[in-house]
Amino acid sequence: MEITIDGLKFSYNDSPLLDGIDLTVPKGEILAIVGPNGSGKTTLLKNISGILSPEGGSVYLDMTRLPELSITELARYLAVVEQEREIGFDFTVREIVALGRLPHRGRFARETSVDKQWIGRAMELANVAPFAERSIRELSGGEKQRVFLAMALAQDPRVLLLDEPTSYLDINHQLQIMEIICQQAAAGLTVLMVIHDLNLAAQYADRVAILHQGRLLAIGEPADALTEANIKQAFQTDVVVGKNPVTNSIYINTVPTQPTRAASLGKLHIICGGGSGVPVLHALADRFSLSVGVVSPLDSDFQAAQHLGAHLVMEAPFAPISARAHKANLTLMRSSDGVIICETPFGPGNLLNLSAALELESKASIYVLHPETIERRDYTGGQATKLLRRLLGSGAVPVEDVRELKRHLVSRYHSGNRSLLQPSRERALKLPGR
Amino acid sequence: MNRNSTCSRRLVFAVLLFLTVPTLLAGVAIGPVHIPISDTFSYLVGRGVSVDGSSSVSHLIISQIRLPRVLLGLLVGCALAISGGTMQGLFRNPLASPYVLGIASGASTGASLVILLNLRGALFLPLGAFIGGILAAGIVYRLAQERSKKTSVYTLILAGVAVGALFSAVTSFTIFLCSGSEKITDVIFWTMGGLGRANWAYLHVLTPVVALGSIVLIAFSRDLNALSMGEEGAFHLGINPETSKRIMLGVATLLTSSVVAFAGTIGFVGLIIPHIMRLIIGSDHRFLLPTTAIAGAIFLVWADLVARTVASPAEIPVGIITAFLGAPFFLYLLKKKGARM
Repeated sequence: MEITIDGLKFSYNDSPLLDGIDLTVPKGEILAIVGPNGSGKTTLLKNISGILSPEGGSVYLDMTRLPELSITELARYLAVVEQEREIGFDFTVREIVALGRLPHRGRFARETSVDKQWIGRAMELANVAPFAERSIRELSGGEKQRVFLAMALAQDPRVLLLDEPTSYLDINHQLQIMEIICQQAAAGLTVLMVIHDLNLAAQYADRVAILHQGRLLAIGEPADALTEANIKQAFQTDVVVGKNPVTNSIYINTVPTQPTRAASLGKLHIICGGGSGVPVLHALADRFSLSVGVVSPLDSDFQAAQHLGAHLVMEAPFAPISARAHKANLTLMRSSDGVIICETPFGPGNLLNLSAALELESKASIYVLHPETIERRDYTGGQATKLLRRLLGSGAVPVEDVRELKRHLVSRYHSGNRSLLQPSRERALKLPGR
Repeated sequence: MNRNSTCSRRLVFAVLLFLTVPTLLAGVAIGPVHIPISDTFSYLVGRGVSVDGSSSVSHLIISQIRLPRVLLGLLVGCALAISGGTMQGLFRNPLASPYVLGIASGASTGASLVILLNLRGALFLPLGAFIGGILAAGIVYRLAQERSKKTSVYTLILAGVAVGALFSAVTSFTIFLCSGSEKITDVIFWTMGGLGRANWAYLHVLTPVVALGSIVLIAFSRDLNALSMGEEGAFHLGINPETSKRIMLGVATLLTSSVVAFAGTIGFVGLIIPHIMRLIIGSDHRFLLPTTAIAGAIFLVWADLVARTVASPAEIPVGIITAFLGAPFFLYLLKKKGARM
């Protein structure tokens, strides 16, 4: 059954909550409605479920306008799972699921064998059959929600509306509920769900609609609707939208607001790659001006550096470091107060970053994180190890821990030794006890 | 397991139904004047085929005193229990009773006014009580109606408490006005409830009301089940919550006011019997309401039997007995089954 919403308007106490919504959900589609609190998501759902009547516009199930259906007819086509329900009395799970058959049964009719089949099937689908005779009150939140889903499925609906069905559930139960819903949608059930979790929406919905100030800000496939710009506009939040390498759906990560920066204590250049620079960049970004080189845009170090506003030298993915990039990298290193070499795996592609450090005049301001692990991350047949040993031999400082390094750099600055390039008498920073 | 529980429900129902027979026999046979069971039986089966003089006295006692009283007990117990079960379901609150809408206070006011004004006539007292009960419930219902024409159950409960208090004040004032006269005993006895005034005229009025009302409430028991999901939940199950609520409130009010009019405000039956049945057979109102009705009927007849024999020839008001019998049994079940209501 297709849901069509045409110019839907609704206001509460004279303030418009929904201001002209147009939307079509074709048969078998899962549409997720997301939006900030108070954007009118639940109001929209209640207008579709018939609890509220729109002030303008209409809701159609297939070609029938909602008010033309009786309450019982509506309940035969459309089932609703709400966020949380408080059950007044001690009903068993089966009794609750059996309520789903009410719209299909006359006032005086008994449970037919068809009813019994549906109840059994719904309990199997929602995986609540094992505790059919237990009291609903004894169940956990996840089990309860599955019982209500089973009740909705027992209604044999054509349309399923869900209002934040997974809000109070742990991750395992969230997935269970979503998987059941997906199965049903594949069998032709039209699903419209209001959901807070953008990642669940992205992973399970065919399309996502963002509701913002009573209007649809965007609607489309998750990757098209849930863009960083749209999310920023609707939720006033900076996010990073990436792609989940396992499920191939997009994922949304919140990004903490930029740290308030104290006055820069100096310039540091970071040699990293393969994610080895992320903790270092985050540790140092608040006190130092950072530059990074040479990394590719596919590298998470690149994305972290970009987010933290570091100066970047980049190279195309999987390409060897070009002479131009190498030169730019060297220039940045030379203008820095110190160079940090992270615990990066080195291969033929980025070996040049290491040899660049060797070209520096003052090796004493080069800090090498965990040099002892170089052999494990050397994919150049020993060349990287050799280069690193030469660096250490000519005065580079081995470092155990990035926080230790930060403390050292800061105290050095405050001791009046403004230039970190001044050779240090300390030859190595070691963790206590080593 | 499920089949089991349906089976045990049917068993409970069958046992209760069967128990009405000995209840009826005992209610008729036992009393200050001993009537042999055989006489009772022959009267009930053969209806007045009297052989000798002694049994015709027995038959007179049976036909004019005992039988109407037992039948009234059955009707009142049935009506109070089924109304209580309905109210608890509607309000989704185990503390609701048939009197939650202020019916008891309203009826007491009506009855005490009739007594104060010295209106003599067999039907004045019931009529006054009935009008008082309906009036109180009507005021409560009006107060709880929102602008949107919807009725909020919370406002109903609160308005019930407030209106009840108001009517109680009127009753108290009436009692104050009666002080010094015999009327005060009448008022107090009426408020404690009793089946002593039973006669066939009462039964002719009450039987169709209780029968019809109970059938309607049982017909709406599935709506009560749906309403356990909340009003929006019920709507999504194809039930119009407002209509169902109105009909059930109306019928329960009519039932309660009717029986209170003839038997006074007998407490505890409407609160405790639905509870006890809920603990025994569960919350499915389709089973709960019929069994509650029968259990309430049986319980009240036995309570009345105790009331008129324990201090014979004096009679204790039956409301005291219902509380004495009902409350401890209820506490026992509560303790045993845990507070799972």
